[in-house]
Amino acid sequence: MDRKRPAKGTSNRPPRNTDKADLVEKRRELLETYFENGRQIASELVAELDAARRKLSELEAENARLRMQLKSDAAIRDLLNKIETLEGERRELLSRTNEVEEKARNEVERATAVENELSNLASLYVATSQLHASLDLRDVVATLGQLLLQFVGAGAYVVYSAEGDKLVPVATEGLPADQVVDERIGRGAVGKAFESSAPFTLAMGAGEGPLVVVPLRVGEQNVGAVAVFELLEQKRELDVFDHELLRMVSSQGASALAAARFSAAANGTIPPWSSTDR
Amino acid sequence: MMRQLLVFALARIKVLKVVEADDGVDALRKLTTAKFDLIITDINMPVLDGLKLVKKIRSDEVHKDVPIMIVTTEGSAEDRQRALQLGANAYITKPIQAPQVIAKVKELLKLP
Repeated sequence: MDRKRPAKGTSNRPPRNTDKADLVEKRRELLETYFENGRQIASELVAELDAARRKLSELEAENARLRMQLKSDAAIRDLLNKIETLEGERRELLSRTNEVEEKARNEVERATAVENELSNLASLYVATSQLHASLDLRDVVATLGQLLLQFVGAGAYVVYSAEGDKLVPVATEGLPADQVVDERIGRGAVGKAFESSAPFTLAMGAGEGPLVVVPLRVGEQNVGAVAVFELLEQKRELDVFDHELLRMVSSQGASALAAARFSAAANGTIPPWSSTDR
Repeated sequence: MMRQLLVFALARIKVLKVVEADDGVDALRKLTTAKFDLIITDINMPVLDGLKLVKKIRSDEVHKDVPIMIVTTEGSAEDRQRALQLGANAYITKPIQAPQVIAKVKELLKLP
């Protein structure tokens, strides 16, 4: 065993009271220092623990936030998917709506066309039935005039009857008397159109002549003509339906006039069936 | 002739019952027999023309507010103006198209 030697500068003499007091003091200081250090370390540990707890709390909060964010992102993804699906459905519905609207437009157009056609047919029916409603020559001529005025929109016209080589005016409207004269068959706009095989002849170019001439034809025989010189103020031009009316005037007007003339020649009596050469 | 065509056109509106008159005087006589919802008249008519008829209807207590539609060949702005001043509610010129008449009648009668 090592024998402890006294420290240099010390002696083996017993400690004096002052030394003992120093030692006590030193021990007290040492203990104080020790406890002070311990307190400091404990204090630091507590502070660190608090900081760690705060950090933990922060991390937990962050964690919770991130979890929420994750959930939120998933919800957003779901919503985006739903939006995309809905957009697709919307596009499809729009497409279908456009198709339906297009069909509806077509139906309306067709219905309008049918209505117009029905109106035109009604006009033709009314005009034809009126032309044949009487065998009185004056009635037939008046009806022909009303047809030209009210259905065709003729503001100025002349109805001619074929008499030999002339066309003689038998009814007129809207023209001064000096313009209503006999026309020679085969000459002038009216005379030439009378001989034409066409149901009506439209005027070519500007001039004082008629706008349209309609030969009145029964079978192969021309019995007269109608010449339209002016249209009513509100009637700008003859359209496709007017052409139909003029064709009807050419055939039905002619037969109505011919029947009325036969009737007039027979004093309004209709001969018995047995007397007719069938 | 135009009357027949109008009757045909008006027959397309199922709720209507049409009464025809031969001229203005006949129309006035028929106006005393019933209350009408709409009157359609020409201007050029024998005995009593359409404008005089409009004037008489507007002075009649029973029919003074009834809509009147004129259908005529008279297409000038003056004619139209005069008819409207006398109290006509609508003015259609011939030649007419049935759809045009139907639309105007529905408008005057506020029909769908």
